[in-house]
Amino acid sequence: MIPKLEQMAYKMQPAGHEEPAPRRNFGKPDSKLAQVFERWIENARVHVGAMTNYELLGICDSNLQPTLEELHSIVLHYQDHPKRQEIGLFLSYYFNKSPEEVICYELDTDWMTSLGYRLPGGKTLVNLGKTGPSFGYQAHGILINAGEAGYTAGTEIEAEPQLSRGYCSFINLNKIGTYVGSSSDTLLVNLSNADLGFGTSAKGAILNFGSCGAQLASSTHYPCMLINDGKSYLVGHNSSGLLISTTQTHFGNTEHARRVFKQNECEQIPELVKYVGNLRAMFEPAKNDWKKALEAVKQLGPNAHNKIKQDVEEILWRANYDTR
Amino acid sequence: MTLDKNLQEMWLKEKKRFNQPALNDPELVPALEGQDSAALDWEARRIRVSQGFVKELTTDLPEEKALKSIVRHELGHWCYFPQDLAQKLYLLAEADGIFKGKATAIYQWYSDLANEGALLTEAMANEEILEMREVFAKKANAKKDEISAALNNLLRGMYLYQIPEFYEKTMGKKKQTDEGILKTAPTGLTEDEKKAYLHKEREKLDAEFVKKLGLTKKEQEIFGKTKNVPFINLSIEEHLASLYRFGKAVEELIPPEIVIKIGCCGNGSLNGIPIAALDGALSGILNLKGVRAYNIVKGMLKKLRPDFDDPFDERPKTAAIGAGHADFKRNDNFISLYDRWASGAIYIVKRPVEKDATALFRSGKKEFEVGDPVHKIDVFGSRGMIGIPGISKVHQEETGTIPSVEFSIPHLNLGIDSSGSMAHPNAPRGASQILAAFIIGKNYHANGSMVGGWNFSEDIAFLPPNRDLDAYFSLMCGYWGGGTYLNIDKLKKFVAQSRFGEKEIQFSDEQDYKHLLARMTEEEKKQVMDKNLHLDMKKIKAKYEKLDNVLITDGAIGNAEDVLRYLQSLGEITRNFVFITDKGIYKDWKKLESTLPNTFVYEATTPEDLRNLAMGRSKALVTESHTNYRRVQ
Repeated sequence: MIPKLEQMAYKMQPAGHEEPAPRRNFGKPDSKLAQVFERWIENARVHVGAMTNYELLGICDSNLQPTLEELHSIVLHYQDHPKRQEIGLFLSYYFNKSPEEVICYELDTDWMTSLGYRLPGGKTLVNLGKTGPSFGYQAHGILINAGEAGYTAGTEIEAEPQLSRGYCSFINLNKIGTYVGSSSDTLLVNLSNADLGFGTSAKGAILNFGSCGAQLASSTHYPCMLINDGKSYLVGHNSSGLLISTTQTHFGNTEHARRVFKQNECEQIPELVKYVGNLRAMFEPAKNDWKKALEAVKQLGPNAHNKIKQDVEEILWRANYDTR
Repeated sequence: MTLDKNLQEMWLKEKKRFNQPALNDPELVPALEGQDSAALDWEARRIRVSQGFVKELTTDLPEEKALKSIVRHELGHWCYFPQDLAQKLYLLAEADGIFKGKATAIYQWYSDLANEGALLTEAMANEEILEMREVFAKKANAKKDEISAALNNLLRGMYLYQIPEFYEKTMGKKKQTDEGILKTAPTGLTEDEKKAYLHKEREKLDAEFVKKLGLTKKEQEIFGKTKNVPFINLSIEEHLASLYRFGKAVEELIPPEIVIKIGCCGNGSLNGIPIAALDGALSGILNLKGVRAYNIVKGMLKKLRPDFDDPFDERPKTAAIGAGHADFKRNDNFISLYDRWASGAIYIVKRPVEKDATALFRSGKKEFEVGDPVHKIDVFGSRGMIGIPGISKVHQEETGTIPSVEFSIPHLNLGIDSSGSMAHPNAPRGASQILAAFIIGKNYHANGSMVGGWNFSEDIAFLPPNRDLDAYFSLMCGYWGGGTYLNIDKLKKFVAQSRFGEKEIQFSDEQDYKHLLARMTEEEKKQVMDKNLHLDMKKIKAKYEKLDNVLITDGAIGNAEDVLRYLQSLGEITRNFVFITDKGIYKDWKKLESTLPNTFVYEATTPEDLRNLAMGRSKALVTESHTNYRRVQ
């Protein structure tokens, strides 16, 4: 912190003073990670799309394996950098390379974009702090939001075909912005507060046990399936999927939907109500402990969205509803 | 000799060594409030040492060594870390956000670590610090205080591990570099194998080192995380990164219910710091780290020092008067932020405000004589007898002095672009154009000139030059947020009709424009419709005798040609300074610069450029003050 000139002043020998002791030899621990970051951020461009900057990291990286604390400390170090929103990609790169299977992010950085970008299948990223837009963009792993995330989180997430890497889902346990999980093909679960357009254009399974803004599962495509056991309105607007609501809700335009099961129809199928209740009971404890959410996803097995869809379709088949 | 006398003698020596003659003599007190040890009192600028603490320490350390380590440690807080109050406030505020209830404890330990690390590498302290930590750990163990014992051991371990001289003394050999270890590797290894070998060997060496330290298993585990955390000779950002890593490693040691007893001047305390120092530090943080850091520190001060009232928040509520406009959002809550931010760069022109100029003035009458100039005849006082000697009267003239405005600072008319393409005052990194406007406005105002301007997007809010700085600030913080197509006709009207000294913001709207057209003759209408935008200088020359016209914009103006013509006509009586924040548009405007009289176009593509240009313009007022303003750029 002390400027060089000032340091020299301390070492100057004023008249009548004894000669100061020579400074000790000191080698500052090298910060290779900071060097990589600076090299990368200098060349990174803002507003160019995540892929360009992410791939640039592959060139800048010198095969490091930083710890989570080191990565977090980089965020704090450069949080006032003019291109700071890109730091999310830097973290994602090393998260994806890390041998850790569960990674917890806990800093309050609502300006950060694309945290958890391309998270590999089987890995879990938990947001315990605050992150900005596009959390988990194009991820294949499990994303759990137990803090606050911005808009378009979980966009284009998709389970990988290999069973061992097929654990992929997005679970919201706290607060999240608009258009979460759009164009995704996996399991989306909301247990708390989601904003407008949760699961827009999704193709997987959407479970709502909390409160969503308008247009829940709107414009979704078959074989998308929505199970709504919470609050929302204008549900399934322009959807072509299977829409099930065990609570009283207001549907949007459902003329293209594969089939709509409103509350009164669901009550006619006790097995379905029980199944939804079981799902809820499985995820509900996660509200207080995010680890339970991970357990629930693991319990459902790889490609959980397909399993839920198959289970529900079988229940409906037994109740003489052919939705396939 | 008594303890007090020994302390004073030690102080005299150390004060000279540290070259700190301005610090007051230390005080030996029976016990200290809060943590009963020693502390630096920032307000009194003196060290306070607890008698009991020294006595406890001297059971294991010679008195001289104990006093030396205490004095050097506390002087280190003044000279090395945190050294600057802004740094302390910022790190404390960040720690508060990350570690919540444990923040103070973690900051205190990190502060000691960074301080002693600097003392040891600068050779301003020696082994006595290491011994002091060893004794602290021993005492803590005796009291079964595992937390304090572990942290003292960790600190000592980090000094020994990271400073080569101490590592060598501990291990009896030099610390191996990575290259050195790799030299011992068997040949023919692949890159991955080499990496694994390096890792394994390093772990082996570290295990040997840890063994020598005599750490417990838990301490060894934490030491593994902290040993490579840098803490010496760092920037404020690097300190934050290290504080985080150190804090994360030791966090588990600190129980959540810990209550740090902080006295008047504890290391992690803000008690006893003078209000003026806090105020200065807040400005320092704003300049050093920007708006985000300023906001978190201000939030922390509200919590920890409720007696601190930000002097920049105290401003009259009448700051922004005027009728208002639906689209014009006033952001008066940001005035204090930008006011503080801009307050660091005020240049006062040191010269008499007014200079006398000679002039003729009438000083009575006398009877007309043949040969007197006829134009001096008083036609009304000559009873109708013009040019009759003895009857007609002529005015007499004398030479006198009048105050001249020749060397005064011009008034300011600053145009600020607040269209959607410009940053909002609440932008995370602040709006540089507003900061620039504040810097320029404050300087012109401080030098006795009137300040006013216009805030534009598709509409205009106009404030005539006046002496109310708050009204000017209010105008500059306002935000339209639309596109940019300047209503030059309205601006012309404002400029022509405004009255100096009025502090009411006026607005343009479509209705104004229609009314304006309705009152015009057909010929005038044609002129406006044909965009004949030349200002009638005769009418306003007297009013705008000396005016600096500053324009801050990204240049993306729909009718840029009109604006240039407007500047051209205004340039006959004013100086125009145009700051363009867009590189491409700057090139276009720069080409036209030579065709415009008294107009200077500058490129300000980064926030720093704009701030520096604003400061440069302000500083130029000083250099220009001894010459004719019109001829100096």
